[in-house]
Amino acid sequence: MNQATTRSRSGMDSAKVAMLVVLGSETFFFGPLVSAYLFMRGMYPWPLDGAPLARLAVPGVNTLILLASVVTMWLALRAIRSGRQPMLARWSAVTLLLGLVFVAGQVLEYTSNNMTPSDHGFGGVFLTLMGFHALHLLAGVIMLALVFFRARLGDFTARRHVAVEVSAWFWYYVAAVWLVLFSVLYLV
Amino acid sequence: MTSQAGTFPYMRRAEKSKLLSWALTTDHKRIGILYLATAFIFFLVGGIEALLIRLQLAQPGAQVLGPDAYNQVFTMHGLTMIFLGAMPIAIGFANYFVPLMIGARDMVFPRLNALSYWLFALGGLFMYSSFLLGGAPDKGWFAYAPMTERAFSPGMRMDFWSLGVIGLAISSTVGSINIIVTIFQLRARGMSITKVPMFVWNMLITSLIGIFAFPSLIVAAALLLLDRQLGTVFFNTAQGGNAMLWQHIFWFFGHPEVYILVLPAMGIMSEVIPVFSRKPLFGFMAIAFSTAAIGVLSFTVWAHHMFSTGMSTISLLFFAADSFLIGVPTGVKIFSWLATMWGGKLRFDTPLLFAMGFIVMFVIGGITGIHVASVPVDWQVTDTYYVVGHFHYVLFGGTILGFLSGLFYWFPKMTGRMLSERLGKLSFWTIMVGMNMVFFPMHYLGLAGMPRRIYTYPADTGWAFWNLFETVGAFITALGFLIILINLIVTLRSRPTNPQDPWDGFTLEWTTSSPPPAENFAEIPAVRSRRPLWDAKHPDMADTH
Amino acid sequence: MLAISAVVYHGSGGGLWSWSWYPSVLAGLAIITAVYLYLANGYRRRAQYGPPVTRLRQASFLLGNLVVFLALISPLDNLSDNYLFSAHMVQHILLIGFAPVLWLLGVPSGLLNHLVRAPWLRKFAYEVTRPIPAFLIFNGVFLLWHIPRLYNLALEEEPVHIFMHLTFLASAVIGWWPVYSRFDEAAPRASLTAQLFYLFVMMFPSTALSAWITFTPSILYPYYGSQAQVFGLSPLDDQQLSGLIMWIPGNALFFLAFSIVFFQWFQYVQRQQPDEDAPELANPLPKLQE
Repeated sequence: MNQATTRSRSGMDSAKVAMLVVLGSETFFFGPLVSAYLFMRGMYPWPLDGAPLARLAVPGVNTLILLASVVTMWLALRAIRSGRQPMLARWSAVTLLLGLVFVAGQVLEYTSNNMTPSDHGFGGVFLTLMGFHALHLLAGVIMLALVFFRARLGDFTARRHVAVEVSAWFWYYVAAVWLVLFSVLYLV
Repeated sequence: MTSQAGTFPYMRRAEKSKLLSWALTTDHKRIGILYLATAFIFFLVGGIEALLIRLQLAQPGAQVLGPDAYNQVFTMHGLTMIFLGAMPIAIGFANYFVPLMIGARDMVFPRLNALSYWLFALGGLFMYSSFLLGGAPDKGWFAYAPMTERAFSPGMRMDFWSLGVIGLAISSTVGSINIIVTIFQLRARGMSITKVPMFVWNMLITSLIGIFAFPSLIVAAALLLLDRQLGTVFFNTAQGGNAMLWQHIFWFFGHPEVYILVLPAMGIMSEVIPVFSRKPLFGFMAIAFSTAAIGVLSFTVWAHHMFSTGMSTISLLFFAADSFLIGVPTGVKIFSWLATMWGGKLRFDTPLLFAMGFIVMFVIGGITGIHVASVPVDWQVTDTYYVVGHFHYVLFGGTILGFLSGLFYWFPKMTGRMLSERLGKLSFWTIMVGMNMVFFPMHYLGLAGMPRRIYTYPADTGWAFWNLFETVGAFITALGFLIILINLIVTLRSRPTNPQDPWDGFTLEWTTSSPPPAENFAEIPAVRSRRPLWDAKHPDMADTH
Repeated sequence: MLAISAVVYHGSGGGLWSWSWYPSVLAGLAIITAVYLYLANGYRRRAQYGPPVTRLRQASFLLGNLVVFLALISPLDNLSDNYLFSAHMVQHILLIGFAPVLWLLGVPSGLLNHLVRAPWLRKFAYEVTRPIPAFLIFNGVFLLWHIPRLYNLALEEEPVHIFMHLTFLASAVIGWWPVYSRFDEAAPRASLTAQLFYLFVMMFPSTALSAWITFTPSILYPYYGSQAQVFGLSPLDDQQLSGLIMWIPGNALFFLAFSIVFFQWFQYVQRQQPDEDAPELANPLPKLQE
C-alpha cells in the first residue's frame, strides 16, 4: 500500500521529495571530494613533477555529449508531459546511449594517457573524481533504462510520470557535477 | 491489507514461518525491534570489549591483552558503540515511534527500511568477521592516515574498516532519507511540522545532519581504500597528498556525528520529562530552534578536533570561539528541561530517573567539553584520558542513559508488558554509581598525564590506584546492565498485560493498543495541538494551539 | 554607473590610512542616491505605484550606500588594495553581505512591476531570482573570482577590479533575493521553508573556500605576498586571517538570517489552522484491535 499517493503533507510526490534529499546528500559527497582535490592542489605545484596535463579534446567532446544528453532528457520529459509515450521511450533511449558514450570516452581518456592511480597525484585524482562521477552516471543510465522499459509497457501518462521526473532531475544533477569537475580539473 | 510479513504476494508463505516473517518484514515496528535487539547485542559485545580494556588497565604491566590484541579491542569498542550500538538504537526507536507519533501507518519506503536494517546487521557482522580473518581494525575508530596507509597497516584490517564503514554509512544515509521523507509526507491532519512531538523533530534534524555528514565519511573511507589498494596518494604527503586531508574530511563528518549521537536521546528526554512532570515541554520553539541551530553550526566547527596539529594562533582563536558558541543552544535545552520539571508533579519512575541522570551526566560532560574547547587546556589534555572522560560522560551519561529512559518508557508499548520498577530503579542506581566510578577519575588521570590508547603503563606513574578503581566501577556498571538484561528476560517471559497508556502520556503512540496492530490506527487521527492525547483526555484543559 | 568613468584616482599617496576618493565611485553613489530618493518619494507620489515608503526603508537603502562608501572610499580600500588580504576580505564582506541586503530591504515594493513591462523581461527577472539560479549565480561569481589567477588579475588591473566589485554587488543582490526581496508580485521571496534550506546550503561554498584559504600552507595570492607588511602580520598570517574572516563572520551572516527566518517560519506554521472538518481525537481508550 503506497501511502504517498493518498497523503502527502508537502504537496509533492514522495519520490520527488526523496530525490531532492538524495541530491542534497550527493552534494555533500562531491563537495568534500572536490575540496580534497583543491586542497592537494593548494599544497604543491600542479601537475606534479612536470607530468603532462591531459589534453582538452576528449573531455571537451565529452562535455558536449553530456550537454546534448541533457537536452534529450528534457525532450523526453516534455514528450511525456504531453502524453507522447513512444517519444518518451525514444528520447530516454537516446539519452542513456549518450551517457554510455560519455563513460566510454572517460575510459578512453584514462587508458590512452597511460594514467595510473599513483602517478603524480593527477592519475589518482582523475580516477577518483571521474570514477565516482561515472558511477553516478551509470546509476542514471540504469534509471533511464527502467524508464525506457516502462515507457514501452505504457506505464506513464501525461499526468503521472514521477519516475521520469526524478530520473531527469538526477540526470541534470550528474551533468551539473560534471561541469564543476571539468572546470576544476581542466580549466583552473 | 498489509500483512505482517511484507508487501510481496509470494511472502504469504512467510506467514507460516515466524522466522521468515521476521526476516522478510517491512513493518516499521518489527524493523524497529530488529534494530533495537541487534544493536543491544552489539552494545553488550562492546561492553565486554570495555571490560577487557579495563581488566588490562587495572594493574600496571598486566597481561590480559597483548598490545596488538589491545589495539584491536579498543578500536572495535569504539566502532561498535558508535556505529553498531548508539546509532542503530536511535534508528530503532525512530523506526518504531516516528510513524506512530505522527499518525502514519508505516514509513514512506518500507522496503528501503528493511534494506537499511540488513545493511546494518550484515555490516556489523562483516566488521566482526575480521577477528577471524587476520585481525580486527586496530588503529582507533577514526583511523588517522598515514598510520592507516598500507605502509604502516599491512594486511586487511583497515580494509575491513573502510568497507565496513562505507556499508554502515550507506545504511544510515538510506535510513535517514526514509525518516526525513516520512516526516515531511505522512503527518496526520492538523499536525503541522511545528506540532510534531519533540522526539520526531529531533529525529528530523538528526537525519538531516546525517544525510549531509555521512557522505563525507564515505569519501574518507573510499579514499583510504583507494590509497591502500590502488596506490593513489591522497594521504601520502611525500607524493603529493597530505595526511592532514584525512583529518579534515573525517572530522567534517566526525563533528556532526557527535550530534547525531546525542540528539535522538535528547528527543527522548523531551518526551519523558513532560509526561513525568505532568506539564508541557517548556519553550518548545526555543528547543526546536536550538536543535536546528546545533545542526547548522555543527558543520562549521570541525577544526576543534585538530587543535594540536600546528594551526596558527589566529585559526585556533576562531575555532575555539565558534566551539564555545555551539555550547549555547545545548545549554538552552537543559534549562528548558529543568523549567519543565519545575513546579510539575514529578513521578519518580524509572524513566524519569534515567532522564535526570542524563541531565546531570550530560552537564558534567558539557562542562568538560567547554574545557577542551579552550585551546590552552586542550593542548595539555588532548589524547589523554581527560578527553576519554569527557566523551564518555556525554555519550554514556548522556546518550545511553537517554536510551535507557526511552527503553523503560516505551517498552510497554512495544511488548505489552511493564518492566519491573524495582529492578529498574536498582539498575539505575547501580549504573550511576558504576559509571561515575569509571569515568570521573579519568579527568584526574588525564591531567596527571595518562595518554589514551596505551595498553599498559609503568608502576611508578602513580596511575595504578585510579585505574583499578575504574575497573571496579566498570564491573559495577556491568552488573547494572546485567540487572537490565534480567529485567528484560523476566518481563518478556511473563504474561502480557497490554497496558495501553501506562504513563498517562500525551502523544499519539499511546492511543493504540500495546503492541499496536499492524496498521497502527484504525482511523488516522487528526490533531489540534502538540499533545493530542492530553487534549482528548482533558478537553477543558486542552492546549490552545 | 560605477564604471561610467574608467578614470580612477589612487589616493594612496598619503600612506596607510589615506582615503581613496574615486570620482567614479562617488559619482555613482551620488547618482544612485538621487535616483532612489526620487523613485521612492516624488515619483512614487506622482505615479502612485504603491504606498509611501517608510523612513526606515529609505534609511536602510541609504545605509547600503554608506556601506559601499566605507568599503570603497575609506582607508579600508587602501589597506585592501595595497596591503592586506584580510582587509580586502572585510571589504568584500561589506560589499556582498551588507550593502545588497540593506539595498534589498530599502527598495520600494512594486517598483519592479512598475518599471519592467516587457513580459519576457519579467519572466527573466522572476526565473533568475529563484533559489537555485540565485544560489548558482551568487556562488559561481564568488568562487570564480577566488581562483588565484583571476584574483591576482583583478588586483593588478584596475578595470578588472572594478568589474569584480560590480559583479559581486550584482550577484549578491541576486543571492540574497530569495530571502529579502520586496517584489511580491513580480519576483517574490522563496517560501519560508525554502529559505531555511537555502540559507543552510549557502553556508557551504564559502565554508569550503574559506577552509582551503585558511589551511593551505602556501601563499595562494602572490600579489599580497609582495606587499609591505603591516600590523605585524606575515603574508601567511594575513591569508589565514582572511580565510577565517570569510569562514566565521561570513557564515555568521547566513546563520543570523537563518535564525531570524526560523522564528518567522515557526510562527507562520503555528498560525495555520487545522482543517475545520478534522474529527476530534476520539476518547482516549478506543476498543482494542485484534
